[in-house]
Amino acid sequence: MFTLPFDLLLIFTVASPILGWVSPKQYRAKICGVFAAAALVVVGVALFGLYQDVVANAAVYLPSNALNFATLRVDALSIFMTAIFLGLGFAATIYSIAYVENSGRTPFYFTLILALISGMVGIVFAGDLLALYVFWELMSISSYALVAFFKEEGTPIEAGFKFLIMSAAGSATALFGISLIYGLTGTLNFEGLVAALSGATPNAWIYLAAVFVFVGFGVKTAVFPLHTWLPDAYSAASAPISAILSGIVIGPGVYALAKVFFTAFLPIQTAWTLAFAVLAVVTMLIGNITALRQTDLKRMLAYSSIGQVGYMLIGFAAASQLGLTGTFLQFFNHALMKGCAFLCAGAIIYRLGSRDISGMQGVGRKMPLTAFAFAISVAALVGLPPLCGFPGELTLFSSAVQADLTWLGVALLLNSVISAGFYLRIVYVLVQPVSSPAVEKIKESPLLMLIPILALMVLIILFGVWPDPLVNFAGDAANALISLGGNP
Amino acid sequence: MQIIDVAPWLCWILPAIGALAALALNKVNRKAMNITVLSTTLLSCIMTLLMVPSLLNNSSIDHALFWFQIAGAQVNAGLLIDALSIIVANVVSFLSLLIMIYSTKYMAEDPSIARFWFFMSLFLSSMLLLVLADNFILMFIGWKLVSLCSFGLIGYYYRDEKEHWIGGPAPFPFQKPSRNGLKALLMTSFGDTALLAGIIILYLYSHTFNFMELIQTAGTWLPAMAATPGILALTCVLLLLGPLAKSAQFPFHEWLPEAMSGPTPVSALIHAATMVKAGVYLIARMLPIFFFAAWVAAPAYPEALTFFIMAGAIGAFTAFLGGTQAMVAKELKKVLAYSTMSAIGYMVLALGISGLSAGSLVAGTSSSIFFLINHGIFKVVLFLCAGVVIHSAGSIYLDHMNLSTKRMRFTLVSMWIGGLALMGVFPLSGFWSKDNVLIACLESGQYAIFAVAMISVVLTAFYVCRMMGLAFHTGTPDGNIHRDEEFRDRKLAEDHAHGEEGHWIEILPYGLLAALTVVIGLVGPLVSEFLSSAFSTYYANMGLEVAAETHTGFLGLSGLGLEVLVAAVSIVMILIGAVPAYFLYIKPTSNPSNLLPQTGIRRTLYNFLWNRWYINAFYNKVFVEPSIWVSKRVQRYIEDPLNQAINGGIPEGFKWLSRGLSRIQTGKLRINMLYLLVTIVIALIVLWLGGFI
Repeated sequence: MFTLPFDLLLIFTVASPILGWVSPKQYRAKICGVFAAAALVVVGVALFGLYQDVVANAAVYLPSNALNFATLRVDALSIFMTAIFLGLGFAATIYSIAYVENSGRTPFYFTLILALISGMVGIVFAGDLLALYVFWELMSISSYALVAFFKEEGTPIEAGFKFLIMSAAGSATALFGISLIYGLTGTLNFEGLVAALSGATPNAWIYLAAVFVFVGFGVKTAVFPLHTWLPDAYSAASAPISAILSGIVIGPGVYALAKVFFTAFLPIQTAWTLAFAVLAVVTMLIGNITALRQTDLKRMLAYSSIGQVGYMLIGFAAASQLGLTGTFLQFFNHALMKGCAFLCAGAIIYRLGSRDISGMQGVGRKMPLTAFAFAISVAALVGLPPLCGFPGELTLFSSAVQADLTWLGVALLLNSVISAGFYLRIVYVLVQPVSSPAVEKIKESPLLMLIPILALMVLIILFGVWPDPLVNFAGDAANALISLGGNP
Repeated sequence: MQIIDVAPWLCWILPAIGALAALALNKVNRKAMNITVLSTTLLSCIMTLLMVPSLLNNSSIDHALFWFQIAGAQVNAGLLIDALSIIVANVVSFLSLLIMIYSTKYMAEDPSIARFWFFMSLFLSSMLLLVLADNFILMFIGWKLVSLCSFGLIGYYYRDEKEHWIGGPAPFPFQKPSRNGLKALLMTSFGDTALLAGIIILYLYSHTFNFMELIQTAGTWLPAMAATPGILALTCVLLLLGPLAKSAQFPFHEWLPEAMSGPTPVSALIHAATMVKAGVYLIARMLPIFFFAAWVAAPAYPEALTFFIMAGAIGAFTAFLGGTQAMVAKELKKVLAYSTMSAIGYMVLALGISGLSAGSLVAGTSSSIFFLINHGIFKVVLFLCAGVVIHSAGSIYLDHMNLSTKRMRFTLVSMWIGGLALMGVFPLSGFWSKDNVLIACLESGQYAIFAVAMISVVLTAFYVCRMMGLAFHTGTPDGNIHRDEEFRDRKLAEDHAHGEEGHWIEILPYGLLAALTVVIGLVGPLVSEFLSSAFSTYYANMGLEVAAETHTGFLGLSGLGLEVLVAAVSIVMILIGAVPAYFLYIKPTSNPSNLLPQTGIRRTLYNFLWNRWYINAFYNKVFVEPSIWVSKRVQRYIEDPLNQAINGGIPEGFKWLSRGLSRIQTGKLRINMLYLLVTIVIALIVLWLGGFI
């Protein structure tokens, strides 16, 4: 229908509730979980085949490269993003098998994860704004449902509802912006947009379109001040979902912004780079400073995600190949680091039953492996070498300096210091002596939770020690976008 | 894939795995831990041996693996396999293996042996990394890691129990292990900082960290560097300070004597045989760059001679300085420590010689490396014997030893072999390397350095005989143990019957090495010939052959004649030192203390040497005490108030800020939606104000 990996993903998504329905009741959750995980592996293999095509042809068009059709366009950037979605999705799925309890609804949980990933893959495969918007909605609807999936408690429902309303408003705003673009150019195809708008003298409409598109997609990306849904949603969702939301659902937002701003809005680049620089600083400051005083572990991690989004925006402000490399690199690393951190937090909360950081003293002595992975992931989030956060932040810093925005680079460094204030507090608390009877009772995480955690930790270390393949991959992705915009 | 492609990587990665295994297996099974650590060391040793064939075919291979690239600057993780690195790596890994075997017995009863294994294995790993690295960055990582291991091992007895104190005897002050570790780390760090600065300056001009590239491209970046007068000389000085500190050369030598507070295998491996040679290695590694600048490049850059003058002068001075202090030291291991300083001084001065004239490059380097190999071997013999002697005597002081020559026959013989080799007695290994150094001095016309080196030979002969005499020959043949209850090493005295020979696992390593000293001595000229040919090809490959082989000779003598002359003179020098020591300490005809009246010039000289030329005291007065004085005041008037301001103020400020900013997060949906609207409105206003719409 589209292309093999994407077809497979959609087929598996549709098949999983049926599988849940026919499988024996007591094993339902396990079967569906294993099925979803296996599906992601199969899709990953298929993706590799597609990657070969992309390497050979720079971009693969589906069904054809016509300006007025809804199309898919797969390039190195799409492959890069999809690899992260599948990878972290796989880790979270394995983890979920141990995490979610078996009930009649459980199969839908895995269906929703697959649907969410399908939506995100669709977004990065989309060759025009309409296809992008359709898959955007697929992703959004699955994510509302996932946040509110454990509806026994009140907070997930409330958080899911807020998320839904804000995202829907965002989507509507984005759609309005897209319609303005269509009105300006008569096409929604990215290549068509570049062709139609390059060289044109910017008029008021294009600025208006940029504002609406930015606000619309900015809600999902959690750019200040559109981030307010995020702390509620992330902390209310179950741990694997928080990992997915924080690790990769930020991605489509960043991707969509990059894709539109580096194609359609290239003519007004001088106007928006400064805006992004300011927003980057404000967003990282708000995220990191608010995280300082959080007592709820997941909320703290949620706020820190906002800070990380601020870092990613630096690439937009630098508006160069190096900057975009940094943005995508930071996104990839953030998926690993924050994914790992949320999974660790989930494992601790799963064992301890409480999310209050001060009550976690001594957890490191009872759950040494989890705590170690947690420590590694937060150290990487601070940006300490030789962990994977370092090359990402270094690339962003260099790109800022290169673009004569040294103050932005300095802001990044300062924020990195501020963020150490809360990230390292987690490590500090974990290694304290055991002080409460609740901690005395807990034991190491279940194996199925531990495996994805440790796998992510190994990747964090690996890509920190030997970042080069990843830096090159991110560089290729950035090149794909830059050359789509017409200036190689 | 050939073995030479993997062996260099495995040889340093394996001990790193061993280090981690030591920690992991500590609580599981001690035996398994010992076996794992030993087998990784053995495998590493085999891997370095496998590199020897490429030494024979004189190849120089740079194994560069792409490491990372950031904003255009590319850093490779590469290993450089050439004559220099293969030789030094083999010395390191072979000696490590034997010392590790010795330690299994020596440290058997230690409760925290996992920590010992961890640091020893990590040391081996990082030392090999240091030696094999093909660029300054990777080398520097190994460089700092060996410092760290050295710190951890000098302060191994970090609880500072009284039996592990060194210094003294009362009324002289004692030093505690933890403080000594810190002292070593601090002093070498000064050198390291200078080294790093030198590396950076070098990089700014050459844009590379790679050793080979630095030499190959020297012709292009040297003119830029030489354009500013003084920069090249400054770089020479900075780059030398690191190796000098690491190798305990003046003025950084003061940390080494006190580094002896670690366990004896540590002193043997790290503070005599290998780590302190890292400086010599690095000087040899950097030497071609400055040799090129001084002699090959046209026009020549005389500033580069700074490198060689400084190395020659400091090496010679330290050789003398160490020798004089060794003559009066009261602790067995301190005698050996001073003698290590002195011997490394020899190596450094030989490297200095190699660049002081155009024709001494090969002779200087090969004699220095020959000395390095021999010294590594016989100094390990001496230290390992010293370990057994100290356990057996239950005291660290020579005056208290008087061990039995009958019951400790193996140790006695091995230690004498090591000692005679150190003196440079024909036909042991030390003789050949020492004579090569001396000949190189003469041939390059450095008579002053030659003279100092000759005087050091006298000193060496004296202190070796004194040490052996006090340890074994002063008492009756059955031993005359002076029991010093306070400093008896209680724990080990329980294992060893007092005054007894070491265990066979302890004897085996030093026996083997003592035998090796004799063997190398017997084939000395062959080895020295091999090294000269290896290094002349090594330098020819770098394009430094231009100035090779222009010996001037001395007093009309050259070749064999010169060798015989130098040998004869040095034998006389040995006798000048050894004979008085023999009658004072080995077959005492008079009490040595009679030679030391309470006052007078001899007492003054003795005090001068005993107080280490007052250099340590000088450092304490000039650096340590003012620092402490300042630090107290800084603490009181600056640090504490600032501390309160910062540690109280900043967190409070951020708390306040954080609380304020949290208000943005109301949790109320209608306000959230309002933000969305406000964003759009503000954006529109900004656009309107900016005149865009």
